[in-house]
Amino acid sequence: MTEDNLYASSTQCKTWSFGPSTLSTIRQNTNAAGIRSIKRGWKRARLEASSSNTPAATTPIPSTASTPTLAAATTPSIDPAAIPDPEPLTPEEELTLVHYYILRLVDLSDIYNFPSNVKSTACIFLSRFHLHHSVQSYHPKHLIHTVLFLATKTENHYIPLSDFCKRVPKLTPEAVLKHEFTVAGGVRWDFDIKHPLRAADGAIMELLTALGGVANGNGASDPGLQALSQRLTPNPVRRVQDTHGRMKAFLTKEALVSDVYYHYTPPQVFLGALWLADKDVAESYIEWRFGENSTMGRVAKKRKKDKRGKDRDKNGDKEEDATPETAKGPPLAPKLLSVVKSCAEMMTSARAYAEIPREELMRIDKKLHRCQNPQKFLGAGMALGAGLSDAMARKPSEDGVAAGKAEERKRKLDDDPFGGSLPGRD
Amino acid sequence: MSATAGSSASSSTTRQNHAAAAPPTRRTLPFGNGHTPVPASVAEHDDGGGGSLSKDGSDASDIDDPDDINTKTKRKYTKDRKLGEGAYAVVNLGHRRATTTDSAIPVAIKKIKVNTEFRDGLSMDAIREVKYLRELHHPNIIALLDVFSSKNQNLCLVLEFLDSDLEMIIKDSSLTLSMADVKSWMLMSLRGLWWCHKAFVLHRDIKPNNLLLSSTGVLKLADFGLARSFADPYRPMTSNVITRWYRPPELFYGAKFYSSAVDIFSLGLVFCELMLRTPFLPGNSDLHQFELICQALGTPTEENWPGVSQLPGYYVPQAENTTTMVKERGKDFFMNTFIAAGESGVDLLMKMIRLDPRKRCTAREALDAPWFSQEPYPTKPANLPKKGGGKGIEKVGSDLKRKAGELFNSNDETSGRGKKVARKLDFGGGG
Repeated sequence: MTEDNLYASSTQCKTWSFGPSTLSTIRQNTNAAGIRSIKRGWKRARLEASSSNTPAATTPIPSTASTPTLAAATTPSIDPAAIPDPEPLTPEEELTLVHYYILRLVDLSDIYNFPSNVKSTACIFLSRFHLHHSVQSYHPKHLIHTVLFLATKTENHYIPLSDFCKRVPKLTPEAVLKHEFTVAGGVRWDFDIKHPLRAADGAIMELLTALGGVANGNGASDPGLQALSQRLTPNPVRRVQDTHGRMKAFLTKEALVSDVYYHYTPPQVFLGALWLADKDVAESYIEWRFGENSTMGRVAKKRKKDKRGKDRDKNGDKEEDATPETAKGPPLAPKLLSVVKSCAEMMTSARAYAEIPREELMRIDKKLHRCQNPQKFLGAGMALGAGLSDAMARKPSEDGVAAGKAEERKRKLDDDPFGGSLPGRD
Repeated sequence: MSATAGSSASSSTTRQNHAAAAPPTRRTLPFGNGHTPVPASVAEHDDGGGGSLSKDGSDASDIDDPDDINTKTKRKYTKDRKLGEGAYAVVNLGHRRATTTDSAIPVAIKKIKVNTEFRDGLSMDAIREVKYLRELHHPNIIALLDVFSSKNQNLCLVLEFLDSDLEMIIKDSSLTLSMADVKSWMLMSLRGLWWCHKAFVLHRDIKPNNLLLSSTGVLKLADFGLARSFADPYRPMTSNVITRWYRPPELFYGAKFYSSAVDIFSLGLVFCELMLRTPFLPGNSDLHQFELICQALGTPTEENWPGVSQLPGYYVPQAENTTTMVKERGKDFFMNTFIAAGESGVDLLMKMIRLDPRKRCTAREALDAPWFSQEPYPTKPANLPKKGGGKGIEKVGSDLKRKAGELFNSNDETSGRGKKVARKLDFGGGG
């Protein structure tokens, strides 16, 4: 029994780990499903619009949209059939939006000062949810509070919902709970998320203890530790402490926005973050623990080790490692380091999501708004000229723009307590 | 020795089966819509009955909707009859419908009631139970087969059906329990507990009626409503857990940082109970309970438990009629009371119920105890004394629906036993 086996039995490994191509296939399929649901919505809305546009119709359109006022038949009716279906979101656009809302979730969590595990769990919930549910069907802005509240409960950091709602203007308990089952079922009831945080804290403690020992003249018998200490001169302890904070920042942001949780094990993610925070610390740590002088974490000779989970440095059972054939294998360090570097690279690429221009996000959100609210665009209230070209989807008439902007602003105030911009973005 | 080997072998088989049934890459196309991964069991089922479910055309089926998966999950099971109802949950006996690939199996469907006190959505007990049972797969831990929500947004847990529990066995005076039987139950409990602790999960409510027995005699840990993960540095935990009779001294002292040793202590007392056929330390109040611990095991002092006086609630009970200080009991004391266990059995017991949690053995160490590899060898599960039958079903039904931490069902409480109920969890929010 090793920790590898234990990890392999977790839902995170069994259901939520993918190769890159599988992940992108899933996203494409989710996107396609989202498009189908948009099409269905528009089809229904067309039927409703054409029936309500008949002169006799006085009943309001049964609207799921937030503003029934717009549906009031005030202007001469337009021909719903002449309005083309909206342009759906691409998988990339969906992902951009999801990542944007994950960043928002990070900020939201900070408002409450929740610990890192609550924050991380919430972000991963949202990411996993949208892996299988298109943003075209479920707008993430309606889910972030639910997801965060659920995470407080699954991470044993429960606060009463009334207190939870107090911190965010206009947030009601009903709004938070409305989607709770949707989200819980959407993450397949897999509430246990294995974060790199424990591995990270454990390794820092290990490093500080070992280096403290070296400072007191111990550890002479451990050449790996000596090498580590030398590489981090003049003040190894201080250096590790400094690294800790930077590493944590990577773990609670870049690691959550990128796909590393799907592709790497928690300890690999931790080492990736450590590498980004300080290459010397990471490399010498890996060399100390898995290098030539280390007795653990050898590449198995007989049986190829699972590429996942090399967390044998912490609490690891040594039963298996101690067997002769594993001890004789070449050290794990070079192989591990290359995995760690690719993981780090993936995390770095996530920074692009924090820099997506606001206009781009607005554009996507507008598109999404159109997709999700066919009644508004097909209903008689909008002064949309009939027979517009498909460019209309992007460039509505002036009234449309004005109405759209007002609507946008109103939505922001209603649903979006943070006003749409990330702190520090503008 | 042989015991642990057997355990890890069988558990690894289970995992392999899981892996074989659901490799990550296969999850992409379970419904033919290509984007909905589902638990392996659902996917398997759909291979058989997927076609019949799509009464709607491809256009109308809203496959993006998680409710749809929920419906599919729900349809896999039928409800046969109610086993019991309590304040916390309703338990129904049901079965999984037979498909082309699987035969029907009986299941217990535990419907968590919407709690009138807790208005904040999914309750903590339900979340804990789902969270940990989704992860823990072991022959000696109850299997959570599926989760779905009912029409009224009640959470339903589909659990492996188990027809009796250890409490029923202990109380059934018509049964004779041999030491080999006790050994077998202890062995299976320890294997289940070992797996929990291995996965960094504390059960926090070990007691005879949470140790369920299958019709084939296999013991399984159940009721994870108080479980939590542990060993997070600097993160305090509540000491208001574990049903009183099985609660270890450090929790009475209000320890906020504790370990898997709390479960070991509880299981040690279950061990005693299996031999005595009556609870070893049946305190009728927390204070009384602690006096019983001091009398039976010894008074915690700095000498036998370094650091104990630093615990927030440390005190030494001044019992009226007993000698004020009892030295931690030695082997002679336990040999007198539990002679039937033999010397090696008593050795194990003593290691499990040491006062100082750091001196208690781990589940793993307990499994390595010589007692298990000595004669009489543990009874094979199939040959263990059984209660079974209709009454067993009712009892377990009513146990499953209990709120975590409760010792008796509400109707039992009126029968003069007093309210010996584990304190409710304080979530720290004052709600």
